[in-house]
Amino acid sequence: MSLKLIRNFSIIAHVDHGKSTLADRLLEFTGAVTDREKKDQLLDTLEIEREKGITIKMQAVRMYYKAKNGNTYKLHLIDTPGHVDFSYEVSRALAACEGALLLVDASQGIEAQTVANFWKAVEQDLVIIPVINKIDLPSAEPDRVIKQIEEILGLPPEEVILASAKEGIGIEDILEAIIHRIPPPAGDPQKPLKALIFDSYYDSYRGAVAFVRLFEGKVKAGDKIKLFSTGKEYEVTEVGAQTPKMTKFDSLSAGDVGYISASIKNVRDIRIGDTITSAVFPASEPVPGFRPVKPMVFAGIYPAEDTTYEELREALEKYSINDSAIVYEPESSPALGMGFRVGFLGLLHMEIVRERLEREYGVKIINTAPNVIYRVKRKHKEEVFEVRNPSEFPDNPGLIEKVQEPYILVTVITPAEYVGNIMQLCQEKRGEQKKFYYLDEKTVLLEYEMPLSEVVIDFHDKIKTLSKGYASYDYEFSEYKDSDLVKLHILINKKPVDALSFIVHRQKAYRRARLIVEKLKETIPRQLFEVHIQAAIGGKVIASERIKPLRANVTAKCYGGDITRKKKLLEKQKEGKKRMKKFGNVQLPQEAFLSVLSVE
Amino acid sequence: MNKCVKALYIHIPFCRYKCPYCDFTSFIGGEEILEEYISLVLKEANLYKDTPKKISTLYLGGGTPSLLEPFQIEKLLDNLNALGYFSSLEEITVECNPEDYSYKEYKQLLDIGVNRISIGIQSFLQKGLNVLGRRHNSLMAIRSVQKAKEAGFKNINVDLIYAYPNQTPEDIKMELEYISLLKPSHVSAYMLTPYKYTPLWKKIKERKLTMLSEEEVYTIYKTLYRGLKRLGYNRYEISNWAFKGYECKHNLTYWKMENFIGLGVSACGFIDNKRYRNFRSLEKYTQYLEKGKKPVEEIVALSPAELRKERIILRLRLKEGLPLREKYIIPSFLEAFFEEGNKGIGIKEEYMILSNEIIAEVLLFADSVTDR
Repeated sequence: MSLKLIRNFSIIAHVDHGKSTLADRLLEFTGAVTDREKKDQLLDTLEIEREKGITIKMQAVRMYYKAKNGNTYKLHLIDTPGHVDFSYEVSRALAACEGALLLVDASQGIEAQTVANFWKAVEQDLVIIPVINKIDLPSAEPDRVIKQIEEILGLPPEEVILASAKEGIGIEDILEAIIHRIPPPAGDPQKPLKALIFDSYYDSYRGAVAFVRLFEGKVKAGDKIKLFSTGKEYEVTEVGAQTPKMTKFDSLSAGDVGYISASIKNVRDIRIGDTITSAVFPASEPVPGFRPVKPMVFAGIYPAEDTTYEELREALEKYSINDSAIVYEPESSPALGMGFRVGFLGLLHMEIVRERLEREYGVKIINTAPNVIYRVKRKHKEEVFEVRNPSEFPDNPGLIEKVQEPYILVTVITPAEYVGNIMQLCQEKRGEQKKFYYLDEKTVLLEYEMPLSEVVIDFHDKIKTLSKGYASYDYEFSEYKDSDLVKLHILINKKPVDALSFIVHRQKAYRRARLIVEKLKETIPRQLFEVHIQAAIGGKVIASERIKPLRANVTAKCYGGDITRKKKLLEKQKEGKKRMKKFGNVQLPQEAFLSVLSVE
Repeated sequence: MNKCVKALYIHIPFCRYKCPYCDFTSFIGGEEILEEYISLVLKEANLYKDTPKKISTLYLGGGTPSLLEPFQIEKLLDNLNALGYFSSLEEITVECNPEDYSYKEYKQLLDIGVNRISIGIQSFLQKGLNVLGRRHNSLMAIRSVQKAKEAGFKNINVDLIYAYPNQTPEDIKMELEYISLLKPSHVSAYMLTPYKYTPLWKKIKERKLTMLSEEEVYTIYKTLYRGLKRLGYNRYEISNWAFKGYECKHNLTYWKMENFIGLGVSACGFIDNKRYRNFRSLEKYTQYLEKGKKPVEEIVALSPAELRKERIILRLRLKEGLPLREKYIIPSFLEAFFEEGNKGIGIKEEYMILSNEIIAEVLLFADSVTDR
């Protein structure tokens, strides 16, 4: 098929603006999925899942569209991850396209993620087709949204398509706009292979599979290929595309989007943003823009309850086959025993990992407070070292010459009525205002530069609460900046509990210390001994609380020799103690460790 | 290596009214079927005819055993005797409510061989009786002890409940005053526990009543145990005090894990390392006995590990505690809570009110030293 009849595009949208519904409609309209197939396909997937224990998600779907001009076009719809933690992945998916549908909810209007993704698409020189979705809803305000699109994004009103993916309105207009407005891909099939990896997954049948966009050249089964970043070579076992089933094709050539499998054992070898080329006639340059995965947030993950270290290790190993974005290494904590320090793309990523480990791999875990990577320079030492774990941070503030922490640029879009709340929040989070302007009379865009560590804790929840769920935000890394940071120790009966210590800005240390000792006082049950909780910087205690020893806990009577009941009660009490982490004479419940996470 | 059965417990599951804190099995009314119930109990007793026994203690508990007339108790005893139950009986206890028996009945009970009476006083103060929802009054409480004494009972237990809502240390001092005047040979004092789903528990949940704080409970507890000690009572178990030689032999069989038979609705028994519990439903209990089957709802054979655990739990309820040679199962960080006597190592009196917490720690530690 001539390159002229190919179109590659993505849908960019804020969460819940109807991206997957629109994708479904496009598939149905082009006949890629019939109603019958929808059922069959579902069954197929379930069967494969059952047999091989894998889930196939749609990464890049190929469909054929017979346009009004009589030509049949090959369309590739490339999926983009929906969260700010995955912004690099989004940029690579966009790099595989020539155009993008910018989907905006007719009632919600433009949100932070819409703007962020719009700029990412513009950076890639994509043609953007604005689509206003959900126009059938009574609350729809298409005129307001058209105005927003014009004023904020600078797109002409006449280019906007009104649609309702749910009701099937505007679907054909969208498809016609795709073939007319988005240019066909360029590229020469005769040149050496140059394929951009924008996604990957693991399939126990094919091994690690790469989703690619071919910019130059051709690839087929049997070809020898090479990965640019590692230089590793493989032999291609299969090429194909999702239609939306995984369908084998003879070859892929320049302009195409599809998958390549080559008996690659580990998804870690398929790095998103990397370029696949021929091992025999390699391209001279890779597709620009590759960077290795860089975790932004680290937390300790430890086995809890009945889970053992070995079980946790196994679960992490299995999980990481399918998620190349996490990194982990063993660590041990005097308080929590053996566990792992795990790096995540962001807080949401951390939550996903945590939840999937517990749900899909059946382990119970405790995680310590997440932290970012700090750069520390000690006095009289040349090198700057990176701190991923509060325990590596110098205890004595006197030894530190300078500390840096990562800053981000946060964009917030909020209804005007909540702007005061949000500015206050951003200030509390040590943010510095960079932009403030009205998108329209009801909506404000704010931009702040602030430390990533402040966003890591509870920014998401706070912003949602303060705006009744209406404000949205997005962020990107800006730079490392000097910061007056100290390590706050939490001591229980005078001994520091490493898993409770964290790094905090000096100005906030007193407040945090107070809140944390109070929270710990609430969560630690009274015990046989007095519990003395202290928060300290270096050797200086800045907050403390005492939990008085338990006074009464007795079962008075074993009536008529009914021992069983009494035994069950004590058994339960014993099991409760077992689940706690023993620290000297003090038993710390899991909630104590979690409470540190929830304190701002 | 079967041990003999040493004790017999009989449950009388009927009450005139239900106390708001009580979660034992009992039914309101039932006076009209008492005779019938007694014959069922005897039927059940017959099913244990061949179990080897050398019963030294009998305990009639409830519910309210004092709903029985002394002559009914006599009949029950005679019949059990005919079944070969009582070759070496030393102690017969009947639980009673203060309002049920007077001088005459106490006298009759003594005549038929009952030698220990346990009176459900709960509180000598009207204030306490009101909070606890008891229908006898302060005067009846005092009288009942006096009458039992006058009739000739040497061994009288007084049941008390402490740490009820609004109780003050002054109140417990008053209770101690009454005890010093009446001088019962035995005192059982139980900390009030609001068991789930009882009316008391509901009231607390609905915030109509507030339980005392731990500090207040502790002050009352301290006043109580120190007071009883001053009055010459010897504490031998978490909730039990007695003058020398008046310890309740029956209850000691539970704590020392002797075999015992329990008869009646919801009664528990322990024979050859098996614990059983009868049906809590009167209907099921009756049905089974009518078919000639033991009315057992649950029977558990205890593994050596379970036996060990029970032994720890029960022994540590006793003042004398565990034999000294078993000291190693007590973790060193708990040493301050224990004291050694000539018989063993037990929880110090002042800490007995923390026994759940302490015993749970010992159990946890004992698990780790199992494989020695």
